[in-house]
Amino acid sequence: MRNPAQGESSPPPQRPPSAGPKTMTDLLALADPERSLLNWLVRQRRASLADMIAHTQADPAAVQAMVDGLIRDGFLIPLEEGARVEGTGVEDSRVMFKPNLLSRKPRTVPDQIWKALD
Amino acid sequence: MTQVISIHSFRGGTGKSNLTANIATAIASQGKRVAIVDTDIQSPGIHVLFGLDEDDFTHSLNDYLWDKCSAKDAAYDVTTHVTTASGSPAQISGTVYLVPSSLKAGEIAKILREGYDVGLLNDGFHDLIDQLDLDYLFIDTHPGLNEETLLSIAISDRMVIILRPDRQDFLGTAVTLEVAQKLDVPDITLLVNKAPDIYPRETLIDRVQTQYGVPVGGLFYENDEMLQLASGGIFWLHHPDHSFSQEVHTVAQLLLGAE
Ligand SMILES: Nc1ncnc2c1ncn2[C@@H]1O[C@H](COP(=O)(O)OP(=O)(O)O)[C@@H](O)[C@H]1O
Ligand SMILES: [Mg+2]
Repeated sequence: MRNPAQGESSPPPQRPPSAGPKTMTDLLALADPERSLLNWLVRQRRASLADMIAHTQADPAAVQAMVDGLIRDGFLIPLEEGARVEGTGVEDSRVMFKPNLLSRKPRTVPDQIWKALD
Repeated sequence: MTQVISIHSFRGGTGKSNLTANIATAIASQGKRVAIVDTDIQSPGIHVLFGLDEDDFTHSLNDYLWDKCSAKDAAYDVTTHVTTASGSPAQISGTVYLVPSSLKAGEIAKILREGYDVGLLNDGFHDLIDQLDLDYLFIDTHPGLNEETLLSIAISDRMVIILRPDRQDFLGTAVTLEVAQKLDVPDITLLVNKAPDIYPRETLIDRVQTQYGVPVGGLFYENDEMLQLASGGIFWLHHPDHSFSQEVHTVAQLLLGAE
């Protein structure tokens, strides 16, 4: 996986900057191949690139590109254990990924209503 | 394999909570281990059918989502709570667990405001399945299409959609089905509830199946006994010989057969 944060030496492993987390509505708006991969991943909860290649039975380079795109757009993130391997710059197919989905985007309802109830 | 079944309706008041509680209990009466998770965070209510009130539970789904307890800590064994019409405990050979949703206004507000991680909820479901050794996990959802219902559709093996023979329900169900297909739900079953008794059974089932191209797993007529019970218990245990109860067991059998 490409890691834009590579080379930085801050001690806690930094999450790569991404546009996520996303919501289920965002997922619905994806193109068929991405959506169907993510649907599968949501049910699996986590999977490696190798798992995704085995599941889709698509060309590994194409799956890699799709995964890269989903990471860039904030739909996927590597799991904590995976993050370490990623820092080495080695493209390790054992790195596990999980969907980066939130039940809803925070603060979608006027704040004062909620404050009144807190 | 444990089946995760989410129960939906496009509009409220369709009978979702009542049917979920009845079907889940019917499956447990066949010796199965069943859990119901109340993901209707905005308007929780299914605990009432099991005779529970707020004081009966110290943990809720909300606590799990805020990492205050494990999923199992929020699961209450309600098997001994369910009673027959005479008030005596029902003899259920299996087990029913309930994971209630918080009834505290502030906690409802907090979760709606902040949201929660989809993976966390799904991990919690799997913890329940493993630790309680479940055969079935039912998800009672908030009506309509919103982020939370999309999520429960996305993580289930089977989806049950409840509709009334009403034009608004019909239109909403079409939309729900479209979304379910986009989320690759493996199995979809429709249940028709609150049918007025002027409609003959076969005609109505036929009409709904043709309209959606999805099987109707059960048809329930609107009835006075249900209105009188007013969510005060599990209907089939109170009225074991009622046609509604027989239909509950038919649907339970259908779900058991798909195991
Ligand atoms: N077949 C039926 N006949 C009569 N009343 C029903 C029937 N099904 C459900 N009800 C009633 O409808 C109301 C709403 O049911 P509920 O299960 O809470 O719906 P939901 O969870 O979809 O909002 C309850 O008062 C319940 O007793
Ligand atoms: Mg309800």
